[in-house]
Amino acid sequence: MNFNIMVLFAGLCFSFASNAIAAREPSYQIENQWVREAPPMASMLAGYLQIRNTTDRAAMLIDVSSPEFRKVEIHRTEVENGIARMVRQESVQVPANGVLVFEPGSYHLMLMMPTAPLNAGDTVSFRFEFEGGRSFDVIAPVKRADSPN
Amino acid sequence: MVSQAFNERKSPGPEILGFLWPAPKPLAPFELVSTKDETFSIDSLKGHWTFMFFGYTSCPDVCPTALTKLTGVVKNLRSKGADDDVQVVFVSVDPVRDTIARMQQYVGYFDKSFVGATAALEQLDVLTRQLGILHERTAPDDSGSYLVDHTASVMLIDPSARLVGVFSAPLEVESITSRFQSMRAFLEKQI
Ligand SMILES: [Cu+2]
Repeated sequence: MNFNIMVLFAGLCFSFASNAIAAREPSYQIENQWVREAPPMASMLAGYLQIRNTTDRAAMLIDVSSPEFRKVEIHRTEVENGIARMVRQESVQVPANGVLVFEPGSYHLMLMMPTAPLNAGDTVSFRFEFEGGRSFDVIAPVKRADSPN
Repeated sequence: MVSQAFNERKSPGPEILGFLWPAPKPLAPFELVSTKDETFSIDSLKGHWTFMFFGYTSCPDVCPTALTKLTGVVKNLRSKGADDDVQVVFVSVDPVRDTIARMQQYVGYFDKSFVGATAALEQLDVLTRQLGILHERTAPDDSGSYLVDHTASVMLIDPSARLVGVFSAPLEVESITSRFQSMRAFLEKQI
């Protein structure tokens, strides 16, 4: 077994193991993450996901970054008296043993200034940083949003 | 008084959420630049059922979501053979950044039949004021980019250029399709 395969094998073991541990040990999980494909000229995109917190304490998401975008912010769309506005969130709280959903018309990642055009089938890497020093790297597919009700 | 007496003679109409019967609002002339023909004016409304949504192309959440929903509504109507005289118009309230070339790429991404339109603010507001559409730029950030707060509802305009319905957020494809069909069926019996 050469060194590369060893590393790969070790990596696989590690990822299986960490998944198995994640299921049992209290932690945070980023799930169902995706980036909405946008028209070719779009300079702003949106990302959606959910964060599951299986610990007994609230989790505070304080930063999200991605090498595919010059700037990423956490936003929430609010509709008040029929007017939609996007409000930047410095941080968002995921309740203890709870889930926070980022979805169209609500919380979203505001993805600004892509470094290259992104089309359905591409992927975007994100790093989610939580208060207390925990951070998680995830990969999100770029998808075309069809018309789900 | 005259118009009120006239309204009273109209049949009460069905209870449909967002239906403006018995007081549809006839629109006054306006003129926008269009991605399809040279202009989009009150004449472009005549003979069509128009779903009109106001937003801007740098809006990554609300606008693509609304246009995706409208794509769904049009697909629904198409499958029922009821889309012939239906048009979807996306009006940009950010004319400084949203050039017609940009709008063309943007609306075409959602559906080839969608029309994009905009105008300098003064002209634009001739239309937005009549429809009760609000839009406001937020303060630019350090890189000079800004957001635009805007009305999140879809307006329905009938073939006589009257605002007859308002679909409020959250927009749902099946609900909009069926409410539109009920409004239309009722209005077509009124003449
Ligand atoms: Cu946003």
